[in-house]
Amino acid sequence: MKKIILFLCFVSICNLIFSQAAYIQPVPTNVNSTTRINVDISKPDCECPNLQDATSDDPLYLWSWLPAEPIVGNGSWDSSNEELKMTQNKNNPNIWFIDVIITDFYDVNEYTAYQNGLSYLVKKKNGLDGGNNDLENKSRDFDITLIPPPCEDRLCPHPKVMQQDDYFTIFYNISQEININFNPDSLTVSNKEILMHGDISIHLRTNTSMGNTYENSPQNQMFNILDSNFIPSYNAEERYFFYTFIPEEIFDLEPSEEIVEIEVTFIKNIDPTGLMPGLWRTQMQTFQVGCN
Amino acid sequence: MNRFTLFILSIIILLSCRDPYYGDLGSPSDKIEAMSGSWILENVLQIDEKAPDKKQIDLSNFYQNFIITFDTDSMTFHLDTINLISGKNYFGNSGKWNLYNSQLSQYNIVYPDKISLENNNTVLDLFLLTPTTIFDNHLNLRFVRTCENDLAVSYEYRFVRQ
Repeated sequence: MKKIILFLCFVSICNLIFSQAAYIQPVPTNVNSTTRINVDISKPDCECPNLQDATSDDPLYLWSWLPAEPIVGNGSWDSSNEELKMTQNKNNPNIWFIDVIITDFYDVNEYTAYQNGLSYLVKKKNGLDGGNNDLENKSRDFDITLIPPPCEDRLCPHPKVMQQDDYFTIFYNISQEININFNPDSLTVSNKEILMHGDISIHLRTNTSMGNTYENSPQNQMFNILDSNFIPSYNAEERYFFYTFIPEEIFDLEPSEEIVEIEVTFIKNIDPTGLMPGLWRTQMQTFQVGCN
Repeated sequence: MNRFTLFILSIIILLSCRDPYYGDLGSPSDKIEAMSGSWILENVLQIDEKAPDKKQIDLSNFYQNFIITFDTDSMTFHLDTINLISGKNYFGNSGKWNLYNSQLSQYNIVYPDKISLENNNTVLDLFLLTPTTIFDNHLNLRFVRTCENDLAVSYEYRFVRQ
């Protein structure tokens, strides 16, 4: 019974998602990568009776105002900008789309893009007058919330701006790792086991306002650390490691000494003697500490 | 017959008329008294105020036996550090406390939106996320950290009355 209810819920959710006239792909959406903005004119919530006869000779155009007006401009209502012409989906002629990189297309930063979301409608070249969709060549207004992906870069810091006594979490998206001895896809191709919880440690080195450098352990000795203080947790489902710490508690700082930056490297828990560096450690990445 | 029906209806309508009921809102609840006692930390979230989605991380696992007590006679607070296992303490171990209204810019025990903790001449202001009354068993506080007057990161603490 429970399974039937869950199945019905799943079907309802799918139905709800795929019955929307306006949607974007992919979701979650990286606003710095290509996003496809779609409209299905056959869906009732398109409210676009005058767009049903749209063809490649009489195409549809995007008309958008959030997160900002497109950098090329919407054009005028009776003559849309040609650069905003949409493409008809070959497999389903009711679907029209345009591919954009949101931050470039709207000339906004990431923050503005996610804060404002997308607001747009689709129309014919000449939108006509009249005041309602029965008279005008346009759809209703669509509002789309942009959902950011959890971590698309190799390393993602949380928070982005932190002080040395803040909790600081590093997300290590190992699928984005360029080192083939760490990247799970490369390891799988080479018939090697992918790295899991306990296979790697985090090496932390800091530079301070007094010109001192501290590290949690020499890199080539990290495999000897038996406790789990520097072993990141692993999310097997989403294939990322994460490690949380308070920077000033890791290092033995002088009373007025301030951490300027932290360098992060991941180390395989193996004896590195005689091995090339790339076999046992990743590239180092630096994170600034403080308001700068 | 119609006149008789109308007459009866008029009587029923007139009989249903009553003086409006004037309720008494009563005096505002005592917010100082509501804070009185010990509160144990149940949940901590760290919010990245710079992230587009204000991403949150649950730090609750770092805090165990984090108990704060507010005394209403001396208006002092102290943290029970005897059983405290871990968890960064941004509040200080002890000091004075008071309730504050940021819009009125004054201490206000009727409509407070902040609690002020003073410890070694350092004042820490925490937002009251929800007003706490003597009937509430939860105390929700937000500690906001800024960088050059710009929000950087905040911590939300959810305490349970002991």
